[in-house]
Amino acid sequence: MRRRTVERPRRSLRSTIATVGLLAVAMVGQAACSNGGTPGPGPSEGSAAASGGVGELTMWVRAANEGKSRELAAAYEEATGIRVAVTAFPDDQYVTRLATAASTGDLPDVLATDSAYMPRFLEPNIFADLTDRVAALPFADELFEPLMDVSTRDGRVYALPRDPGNSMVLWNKDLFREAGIDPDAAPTTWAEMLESARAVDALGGDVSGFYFPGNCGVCNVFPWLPLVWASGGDLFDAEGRPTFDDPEVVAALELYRTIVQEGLVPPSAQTDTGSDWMTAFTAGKVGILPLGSFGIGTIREANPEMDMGIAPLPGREGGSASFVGGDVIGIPLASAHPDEAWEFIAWTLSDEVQIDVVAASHELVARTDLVENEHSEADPLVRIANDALAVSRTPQSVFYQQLVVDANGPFSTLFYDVTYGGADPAEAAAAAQRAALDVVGAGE
Amino acid sequence: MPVAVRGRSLGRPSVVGGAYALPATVLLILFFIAPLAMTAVMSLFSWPLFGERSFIGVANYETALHDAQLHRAVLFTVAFAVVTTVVSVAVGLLLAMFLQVERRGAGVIRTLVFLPVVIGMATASFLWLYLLNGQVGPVAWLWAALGLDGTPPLFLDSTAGAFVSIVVMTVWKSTGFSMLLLLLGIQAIPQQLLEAASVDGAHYWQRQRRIVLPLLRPTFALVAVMGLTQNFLVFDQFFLMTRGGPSNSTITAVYWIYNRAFMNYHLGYGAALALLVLAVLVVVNLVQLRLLGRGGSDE
Repeated sequence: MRRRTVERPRRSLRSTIATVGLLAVAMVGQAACSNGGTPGPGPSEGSAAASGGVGELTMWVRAANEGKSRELAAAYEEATGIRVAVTAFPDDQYVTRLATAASTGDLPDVLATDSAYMPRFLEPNIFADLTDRVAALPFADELFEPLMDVSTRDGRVYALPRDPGNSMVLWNKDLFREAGIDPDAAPTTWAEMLESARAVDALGGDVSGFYFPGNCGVCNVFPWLPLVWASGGDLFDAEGRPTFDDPEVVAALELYRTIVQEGLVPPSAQTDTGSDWMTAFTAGKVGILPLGSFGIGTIREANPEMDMGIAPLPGREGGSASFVGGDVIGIPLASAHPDEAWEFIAWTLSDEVQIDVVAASHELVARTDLVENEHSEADPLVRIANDALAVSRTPQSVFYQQLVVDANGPFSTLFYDVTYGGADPAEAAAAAQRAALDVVGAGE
Repeated sequence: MPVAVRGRSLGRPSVVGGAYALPATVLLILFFIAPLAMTAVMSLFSWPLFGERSFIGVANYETALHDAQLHRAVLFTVAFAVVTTVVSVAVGLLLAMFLQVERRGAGVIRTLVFLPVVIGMATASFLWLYLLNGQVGPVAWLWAALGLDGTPPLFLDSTAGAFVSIVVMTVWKSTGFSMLLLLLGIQAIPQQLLEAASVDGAHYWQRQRRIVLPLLRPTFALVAVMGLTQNFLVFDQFFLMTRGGPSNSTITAVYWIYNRAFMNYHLGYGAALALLVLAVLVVVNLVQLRLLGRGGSDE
């Protein structure tokens, strides 16, 4: 039986073209709109140009610090009536966004940036010279040194420390007990760390001995690089040029490769781009987690019963080191309200704010004279992190973004290739060094 | 001999006509010609995001010639674009042929197939990123529910796996648009032709092959050209789902331009690469249009 077809009137060519044309316009329009969702220029809030009068300051921060920054802004508004409009950008686009804004002079009143990027920003004179203002502060000598160093050039200071955080190795004391290892002993050598991971992993089930996000170079460099430092090596030399084929770098990569090959990490770690860094550990399923002091508060909040230990990262045969990062905060030259911006920054470093806001949320303070405060005293983990500040370093390289942060750059590729890609560590490191030199040598 | 239209000869330009064309011309110049010219100029410079720029002539193009990652990216992009376009158009055609008949539920299916087209590519990428997630994604749950052995595969952890997953995702996202255009094309075919063929004894597939497809040629050309161009410019999916990994094996041409210009600050080089991509696309489109034939129905 013939299927019933609706009799369609014959369309003229003209109306077909009109319809198709309309659809094409719609498609282009939709494509243009959807492309607005992809990474590209444009924060959702206004920029410095919009800030008028003394009633409002504009501040740019990284997405990772958005919550804390808004807290501070709210507290400042309550205290002084001046509104601080906070705009946050995704971490891996921050430098690009700042660079683009810098070239048009379109910068906020207060600018916070990851300390690792500061060498890059010192060159094109983005920040105002704060040396004299800093000298007038009562606590000028107690400002956290590594972050001050990275913000200083030719003796002039261009930014102040904010939210220092150092890398730590965390371990689950309950799992250690179960596996028969001393839960209070921090790993002092790589071999010890490996043994402990093996012992916890042997517990079976869905418990893993170790965890690190397999697809995030910039996440891993934070706790991994101190392993190299504590063993006497480095990714960069004194001038900030790459030394990716350093023997200790190769050895530390081999360590992580061994961990993967022995199956001490869960399978899902391979594709983790960092968003699940703490998830399994917080759920009590991981023995050892190289992380940072920034995790203390987060893990505590998610799992208050967690009994965990932390310590700086061990060297191959002993010693320890930690990577101190965090933000530095300064005033762009383009700001129309430098005095008010300075008052805000000085306020964030005041006793009350450092203790009642920063330390109260298990964060490290930016002043050495406040390191021992009521909150850190009450929290042994924060105390350990504070003590480790003494052995904490920060890498200084103008090329940090291109070499380490870039997800497709030499370090990220090297890290993945050796740990999950099955590449020979020495060969891969040599290739990465050549690639790194290319990046550096090509200059701009 | 040129025909003289009353009031105007072919030689003298019409002022009124020019005035009508002016807004479109202005927009064209402002949003296409001018930026294109600026990009072309930029490509002749070493143009860092920070710092001084300097004129270097065609050095950027020379660098592109030796850029191994660029070559890999282009090959990967071509493979992706060809596979995705072919599958997407084929599926769209089959769906159009199947759904042009007003059977029960055809309208609903057409809407469902077209729905992914209207969500942004970034949204779709995140959606699929979580669909394919080994721990919390429904695919993993399905795997377990079906009782399949072992842990579900990590779709995005190998080059082949990532390629197939993202082809599937892009086809899902774009086939509705091909379907819609082809549907319109099919409906433009006069019913009398098909009925006459049917009366002459041609069965369904003969009618499709001998009448529908040839008459669909212009629409088909349009769909193929638009599809191939769009897929050649793929960026969102690979940026959001694999970050060009594993080991930079899923970096596409546009991704590489983004990386060079915005992660490594070589704006001049990025501009040069962008012009090269443009040139390639123009050539590809010309070849395609030549092969598929232009113009309306000649019959």
